[in-house]
Amino acid sequence: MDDLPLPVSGELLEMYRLDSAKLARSTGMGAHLTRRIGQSLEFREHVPFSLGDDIRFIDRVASERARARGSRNGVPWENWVSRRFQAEDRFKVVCSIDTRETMRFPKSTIQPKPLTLSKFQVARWLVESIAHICLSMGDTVSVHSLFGGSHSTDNLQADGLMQQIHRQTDDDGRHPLNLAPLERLLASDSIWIIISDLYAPPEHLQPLVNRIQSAQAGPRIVILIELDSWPYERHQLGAGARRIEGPDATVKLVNIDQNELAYVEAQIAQQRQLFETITLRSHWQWPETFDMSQDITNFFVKQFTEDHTLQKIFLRG
Amino acid sequence: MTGLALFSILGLIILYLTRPFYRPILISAAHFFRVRETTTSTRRFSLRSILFSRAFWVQLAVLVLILMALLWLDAVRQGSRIERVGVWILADTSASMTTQQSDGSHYDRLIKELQTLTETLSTIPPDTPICVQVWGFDMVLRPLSEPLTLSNLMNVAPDLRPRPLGTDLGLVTQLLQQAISPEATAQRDLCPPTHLVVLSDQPAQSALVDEVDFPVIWRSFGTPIDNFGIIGVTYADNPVFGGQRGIEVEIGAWYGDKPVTVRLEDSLGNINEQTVRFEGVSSRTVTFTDLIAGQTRLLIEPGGAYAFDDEIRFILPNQSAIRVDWQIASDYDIGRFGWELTTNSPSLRIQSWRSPLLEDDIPTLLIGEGYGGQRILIDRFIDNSPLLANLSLDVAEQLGVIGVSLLPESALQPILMGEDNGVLFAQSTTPSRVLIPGLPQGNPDEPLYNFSTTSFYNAVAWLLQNYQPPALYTLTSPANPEPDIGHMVLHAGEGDSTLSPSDIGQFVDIGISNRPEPEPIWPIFVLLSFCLFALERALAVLRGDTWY
Repeated sequence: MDDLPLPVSGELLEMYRLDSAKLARSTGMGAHLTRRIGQSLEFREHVPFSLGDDIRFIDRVASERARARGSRNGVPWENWVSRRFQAEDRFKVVCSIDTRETMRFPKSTIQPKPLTLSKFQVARWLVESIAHICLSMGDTVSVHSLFGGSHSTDNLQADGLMQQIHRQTDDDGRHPLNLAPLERLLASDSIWIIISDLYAPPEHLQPLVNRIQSAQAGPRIVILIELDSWPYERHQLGAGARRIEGPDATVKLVNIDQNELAYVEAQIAQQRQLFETITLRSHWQWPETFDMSQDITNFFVKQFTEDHTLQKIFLRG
Repeated sequence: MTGLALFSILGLIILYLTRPFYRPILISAAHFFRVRETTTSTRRFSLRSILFSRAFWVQLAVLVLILMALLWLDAVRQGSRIERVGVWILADTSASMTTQQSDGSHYDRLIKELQTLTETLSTIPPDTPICVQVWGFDMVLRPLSEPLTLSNLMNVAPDLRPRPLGTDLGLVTQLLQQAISPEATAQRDLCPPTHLVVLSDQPAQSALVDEVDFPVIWRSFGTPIDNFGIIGVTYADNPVFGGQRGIEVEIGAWYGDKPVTVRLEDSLGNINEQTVRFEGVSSRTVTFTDLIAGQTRLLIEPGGAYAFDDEIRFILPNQSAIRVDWQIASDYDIGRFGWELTTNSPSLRIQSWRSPLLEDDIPTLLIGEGYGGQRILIDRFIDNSPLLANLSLDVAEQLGVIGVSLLPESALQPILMGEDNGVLFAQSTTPSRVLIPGLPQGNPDEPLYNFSTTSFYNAVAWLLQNYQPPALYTLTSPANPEPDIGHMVLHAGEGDSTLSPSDIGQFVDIGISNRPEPEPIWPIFVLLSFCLFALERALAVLRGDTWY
């Protein structure tokens, strides 16, 4: 279930990027992420025309094309599109995926198994989406398995993104925290995106916290995308006697009540506190139930398109 | 046991019903839960606790397998139980039951066996009806009681005392056939037999009972012990020509090899003793001669364990029992043979060939015309005829035997004829008749004496070939069982004390059905149960509480 195709089309991602830039200009968010936008001879991209932009760079042909494309896709486009030029400096985006077994959840215990979205699936889609956008912006993107073995961490190429991501995150997550490749990957001006559920003993995560703090000390941007399936799992638990089976053959006989739930939530909150030094963080919460009458991938599309923290990556001036 | 297993199964079900059902669920946050729940479920009963518990089903399977093993054993036990018991006891009452052993007589041992049987039958569950029918057998088969119960079975003991009779083991088969016969008899109706118990000092004879599919228990209690005894007494002399002035006594030794003394006491009190040494031979013959007629007593010492063959009394006749109807005038010394001349029921008639033949079946010797005629030539004769044994035909030609012409009504067939067609010897089988030339005559060592005497002896011997002298004694019989003078208990085999016990079956077999027991499969149930138990325990150890 972790190899579903990306539910977001390339065109939609492109529009998402343009919207992100527009949002950034209109709201002033993420100024620190704005690149040194110059007027070099190198055309870099089309961006929605924003208040304050030089009207000389409005591209009428591209604007008409965007309107036509928007009416085809059902996303009306009424803004002008202006051209943007940039210097040669590009970002290096590093996506670290938590591949431990906790990320393979939620799973269904019902036969036949209804489609549920695992955190790992969402993480892969997220990396693929980010890579798609960033590669189109000329950045380099690499994928790193937080608990993987000696996977390749070569830069991703635009063609066959999904296969590359799968290949570089195809492990069982049973290895120790794998921070060594980050020494090479996390150069200056890099963006380090960590995608994890943080469901691990504190002693396992503490080295990662340390590494994050170290990375934040330099000219790097660290973003934590926390994939939180607890609301969904809590709903699944209900109340009463439960035989809880979890990752790594964990089995516990528990009587679920408010006290027990409060205890667990306190544990999770404690985990989260370890990473409170990260200012750029997103919290993706699974819904309590998936509406099976609809496409469950909508959860990802919605989360992705509405994630303002993530949008800051794409603020390029 | 079966109830206990059922109770255990019920207890297991109740135990699991009252256990909270832990609904399985897969979540990634399992790590954050506490190790062990501390509160108990408020649910009183949960069917799902049973349905979804692997441990329950394995434990239930263990108990069910044990239950199946018990049920199988119960079924076999029920199947092997007999619904009722009808014991026909066939007790040996022959003379050999008086044989004395170190612990008493064979009869005493029979009574002990009867007591043992009573005790064994008393162990059969009281709800099983039991009846006993007692039979005695020696030379005849006798029902000795009405159907008995265990409480009065021993009352029949006096009726089982030995009788001075022989043993007919064929009666075992006869009673067995009676037991399985569909024909109604008083005994069968009152006590239908399920088992036949043979109590005898004779070893079990499988051949007698194997042919019939009926449960037979044969308990033999004879053990080897020294015994010496008289097997039989016969005349010592030729009964036809020699008179009876002597007897031969056959003495047997069973399981002993000591010398024994045979004492003969005649009617005048004269005692004649002889010592017999067997020297590894089972029987010896002792001859007593020149006896006087009258009551004679024979005794052997030591006699051994069986007494009936140690002493006998009989009357020794004072003369031959051959009665001869002598109808011919002759100066021949008839007294030399000791014959009794009489016309009353003779054993032999001697008459002239010319005399009319009587129409009866008394062997008759016809005397011809004698010797001293013209010399003749033998023309025809029957070879190998016993009448011509040891006779020289050349002598016959020289002696001038006078031939005769047979009368047709004589039914005689010529044995020896001269060339003049005169018949010298002739015979017929029915009626038994012989023609010879003449009575013994001449002087000893003369050809005439030899020829005439030999031909006379040949003829009388042939005519009396089927003659049996009167027995010195008779054997006891069911009609006349009491021994007396000349009425003995010398039945063959009664004094044989060499027989070792040999049994068929045991008393405890009674009460157990003779139906074949099925192949035991309960060990398979137990083995499977044990394997499942071991598996369940191993999984419980490996998985801890979560196994449940």
